[in-house]
Amino acid sequence: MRNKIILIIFILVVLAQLYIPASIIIGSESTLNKGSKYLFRTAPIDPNDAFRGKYVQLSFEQSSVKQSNKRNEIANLTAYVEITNDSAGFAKATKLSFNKPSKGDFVAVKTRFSFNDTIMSFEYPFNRFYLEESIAEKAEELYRKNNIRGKQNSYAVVRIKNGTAVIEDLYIGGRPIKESLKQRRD
Amino acid sequence: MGQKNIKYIIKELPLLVEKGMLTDQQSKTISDYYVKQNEKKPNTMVVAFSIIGSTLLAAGIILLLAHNWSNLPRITRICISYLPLVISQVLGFWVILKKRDSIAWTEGIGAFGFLAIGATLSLVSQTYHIQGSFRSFMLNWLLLGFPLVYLYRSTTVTVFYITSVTTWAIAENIAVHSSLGYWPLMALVLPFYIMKYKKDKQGQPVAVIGLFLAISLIFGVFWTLIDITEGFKVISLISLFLIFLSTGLSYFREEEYFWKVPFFRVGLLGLSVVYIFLSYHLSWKNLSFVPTTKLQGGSFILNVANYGISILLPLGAIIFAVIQGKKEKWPVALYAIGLPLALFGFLVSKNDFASAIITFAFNAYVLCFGLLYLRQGLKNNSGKALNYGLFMIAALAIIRFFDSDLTFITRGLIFIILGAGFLGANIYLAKRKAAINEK
Repeated sequence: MRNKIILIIFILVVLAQLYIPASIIIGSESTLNKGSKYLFRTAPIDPNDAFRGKYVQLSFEQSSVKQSNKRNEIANLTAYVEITNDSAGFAKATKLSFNKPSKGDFVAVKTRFSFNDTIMSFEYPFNRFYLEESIAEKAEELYRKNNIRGKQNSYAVVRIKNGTAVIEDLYIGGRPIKESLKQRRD
Repeated sequence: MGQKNIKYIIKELPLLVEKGMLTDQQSKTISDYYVKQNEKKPNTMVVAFSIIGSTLLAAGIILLLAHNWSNLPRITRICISYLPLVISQVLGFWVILKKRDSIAWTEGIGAFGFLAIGATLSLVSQTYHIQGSFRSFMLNWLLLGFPLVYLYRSTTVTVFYITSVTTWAIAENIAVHSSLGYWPLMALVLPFYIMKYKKDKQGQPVAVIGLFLAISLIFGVFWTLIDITEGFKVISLISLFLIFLSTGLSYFREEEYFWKVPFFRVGLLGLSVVYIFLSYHLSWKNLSFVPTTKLQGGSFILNVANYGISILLPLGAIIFAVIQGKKEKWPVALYAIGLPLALFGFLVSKNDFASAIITFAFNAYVLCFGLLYLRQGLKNNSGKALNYGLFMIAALAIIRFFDSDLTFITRGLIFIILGAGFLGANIYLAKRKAAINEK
C-alpha cells in the first residue's frame, strides 16, 4: 500500500516535471506559428555590452512610450504596450497601460522609469538572441558594425500573440544573422 | 567505529585468545558483533562517488547542450533538451521500485534528477530565446525538484534544495525587496530533517543538512526580512545565533568535529563576530532603534509576516535560552546577556553619552567572556576553550589598537604580549596535561 502511494506520487511528480517545460514549448510554438509578425528596429549599442557569453544582447530603438494611466510606484511592474506598424513597415509602440488591452496586438513588458509623468520607459521581454558558441564572436562583430549610430540596418523579427512575444530571427544588413555570418565566412 | 579500527580489533582477537585473555566463544561473539555493525553502515566511499559522479555527469550534459546547436531543427533540440530529464525519470522509476533502500542509488539519481530539471528548463528557454527572470526560473526549478527530497530521501537533494531556496530568496529580494516566501519554502524540508535526526542524530546526513540549514538561515534573516528599525538586523542575528547555540546544546551531544555539531558551532562563531562588531563605537552611531520607512510599501500580509517573524525570533531566542539555561548555565547564560544589552543599546544609542557607555559595556562584555573561557580552559584542561578565550581577547585588543592612534612601538609591544600569551598558555596547558597523564 505504502509503495503504491509512493509510486503514484512519483508519477505525478514526473508528469509535473514534463508539463512545465512543455507548457513553455507549446506557448512559444503557438506564438511562432499563429502570432502576428513585427519587425523591431534594434538600437545603437554599447559594443562592450553587446555580447554576453553565447547570446547577443539586443536593445531596441524605441524603449519609451506614452502611458495611459498614472501610478505612484512605477519601476519593475508588468505593463502592456500596444504595437502597430509604422509607414516603413517596422513595429511601433503606441501606448502603455497597466490593464490588458482588449483588442489589437500588445506585449507584456517590464517598466523602468517615467519622464514627466506621461512618458514611460520600459524593457521588452525579448532582449536576448542565443547562438552557437563557435559563431558567437563573429556575430558580435557583425552586430556591432551594423549598429553604429547613423548606420543602422538591423532588426529583430518577433511574433506576437495575446501579449506573449517570441523572437523568430535577428536580421543584420537585411539578412538573417546566420546567413550573413555564413557569407562572411565563405 | 571506523572500518580501520574494526579490522584492527578482528586481527587482534586470535592473539588475545592465544594469550588466554579471551575464550574462543568470546572472541567469536566480539568479531560477530563488529562485523554485523559494519554491515549496517553503507560504504561511505561508494555513496560519495555516486553523488560526485552523477553531479559531474549532469553538469557535463548541461555544458554539452549549452553549446547551443542552433543548426539543428527546433524539434530535435527540444527532444535533446528533454533527454536528461527523461533519463533521470526512467532511472528514478527503477530506483523507487527496486533500490529505494540503497543510499548510493537514491543519492546519485536524486542529485542527477534535481540538476536535470534545471538543465531542461534552461535549454527550452534558450531554444525560444526567452530571457525570463532568474528568480522565476529558480522558483520553477526548486518547486519541481522539491518532491525528490522525500521520494528519494536524499541528503544531496536536500542540500541542493536548501541552496536553491537561498539563491532564489536573495534574487527575489534584489528584484522586489521582499522574499518572505523563503520561510514556508524552507519549512518544507524540516520534517525530513527531523526524520533523519530521529533515525540517527549523529549520522552524516543530520550533520550535513544541519550545516546547510544553519548557514542558509543566516542568509534568510539577512535577506528576507525588511528592517523594522535600523538596529533590527543585529537583534535578529543575535536571536538566531542564540537559538542555534541553545538548540545545538540541547539536541546534540558535543562532538569532536566541527561539522558534527553545526548549530552550536555556527551559533558560537556568529555571536562572537556580532559581539565584536558591537564593540565598535561606529556601529552604535550608525544603527539605532528609530523605525525605518521601508516597510510602508509592502502589502498588508507581507508586513504582518515580517513583523511576526521579527518578533518571534527574539522571543524564540529567550525561550530556548531559558530552557537550556535551566539545564546548564554555561555558556548559554553568558551569551544570552548580549541580547537584552543590545536591545537596550539600540534604544538609547542616539544619545552620544549613552552610546559611549554602551560601547564600553560591549567591550567589557567581550573581554569578560574571553577571560571566563580562559579560566574554563585552564580549569578543565581544555585547549579548545583556552584558545577560544585567548582568541576573543586578542581580537578585541587588535581591533581596539587599529581604532586608536597608538604608535607603532605600543602596537608592536601589544602584539608581542598577545603572541607570548598564546604560546605561554598553551605550553602551560600541555605540560599540565602531560603531568596528569603521568599520574
